[in-house]
Amino acid sequence: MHSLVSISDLSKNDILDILNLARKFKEGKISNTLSKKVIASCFFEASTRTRLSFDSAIQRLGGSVIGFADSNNTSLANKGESLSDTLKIIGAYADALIIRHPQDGAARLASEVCNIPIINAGDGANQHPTQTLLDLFAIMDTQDKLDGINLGIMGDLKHGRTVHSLIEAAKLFNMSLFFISPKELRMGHDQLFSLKQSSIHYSFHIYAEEIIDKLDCLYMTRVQKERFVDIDGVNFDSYCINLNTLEKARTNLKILHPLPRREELPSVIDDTPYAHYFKQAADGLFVRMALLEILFATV
Amino acid sequence: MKKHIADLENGINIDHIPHGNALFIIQTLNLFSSDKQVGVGLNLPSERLGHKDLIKVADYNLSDKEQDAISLFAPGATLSVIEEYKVISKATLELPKEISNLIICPNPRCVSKQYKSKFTTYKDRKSNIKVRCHYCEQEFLLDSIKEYNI
Repeated sequence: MHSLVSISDLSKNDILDILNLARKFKEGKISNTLSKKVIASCFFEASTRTRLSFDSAIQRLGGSVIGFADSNNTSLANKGESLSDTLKIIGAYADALIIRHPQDGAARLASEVCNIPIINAGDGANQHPTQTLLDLFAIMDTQDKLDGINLGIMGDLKHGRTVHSLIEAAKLFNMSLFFISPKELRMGHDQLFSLKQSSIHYSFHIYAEEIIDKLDCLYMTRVQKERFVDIDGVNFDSYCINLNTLEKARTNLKILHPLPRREELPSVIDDTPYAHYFKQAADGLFVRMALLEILFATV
Repeated sequence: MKKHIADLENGINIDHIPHGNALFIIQTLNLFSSDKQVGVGLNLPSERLGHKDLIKVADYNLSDKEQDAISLFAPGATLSVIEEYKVISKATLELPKEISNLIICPNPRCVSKQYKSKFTTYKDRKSNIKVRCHYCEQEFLLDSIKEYNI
């Protein structure tokens, strides 16, 4: 593996290698793989968890970080430099580039103009592969397996970036998928066709209560009302859960969420044994350490 | 004697164009505003297609990019190159697997708009031609593409 631009760049074994190494880091493994390495962390748009967990991962592996968290002070923003020129120069100063950019495909472009490993930390509405890896890590860590999991996916299944990448990965592990959303926000036909071709079982539901007793994990996503052209008639109540929703939940159920959350996941859930979303985000550190370690082992 | 486009001395003959696509190809090749003689047949009977379109252009050679475009819009069409009334080459155009710098990505947020475009093509379950952007990874029906860079 030279770069990670899209979750589809990874095979099932690549994913398992990263997750197993992440577990070792979580258990206390120490590594100095990035000693004397300089990693560029270039965030052309806002991020809290992703940027800080990458910065922390780099420093824990003995590397140093250059870059910016706000592109307003770059030549790209102030002098009209093209993105590809900016990326070429960054590629000459660093041993790897972690990039978040508002334009779809920016990380792919970076992988073509730079000769160093690229990690996509989110390119517009397209991909956020390390989020998918830490989602998978949360499932594996709480259920002790990935194969054959009953996974509920709830929210905006039509537009959600994290949902689409998670489904790509779910196909590799033969998960059963339970889609919970208003009818207007169901998964697109092409993606459903692709699930069918992979013989993945899936079903549609309006409310989580209908199938909560079957789920091992419930993956929720943020309500993104800004994406709706016509907001009238969409029943947003079916986006949200509360304590009543969980009455018939299995004891092993864990609720996951990429965060930040809004009204769909009220704080009253935080104190239940089902809440795993803060641990999920915290473990992102170990997943990103594992990814960096593996990338530099194969460079 | 004045020569007629029907008796093409030099040029190209594009046959077996799925009917309805000939005018789009003429527009794509910018032939409406060129000084080339163009012959067009629309809705002609065809054993293979039922109905087909046909275009003849005198004194014209396709660039690689133009051939890619026609292969995209009319896969299965036959392209004959004619010199001195003789067919010197004849090829069936196949849907190209990759298309570079031809389609302008309809995704307004796609980074290819300020770089270069690259698409892969495929047929979906209903045999519609779809294109997938190498950069933003979005998929589009070919019929929905409005802008081309020719």
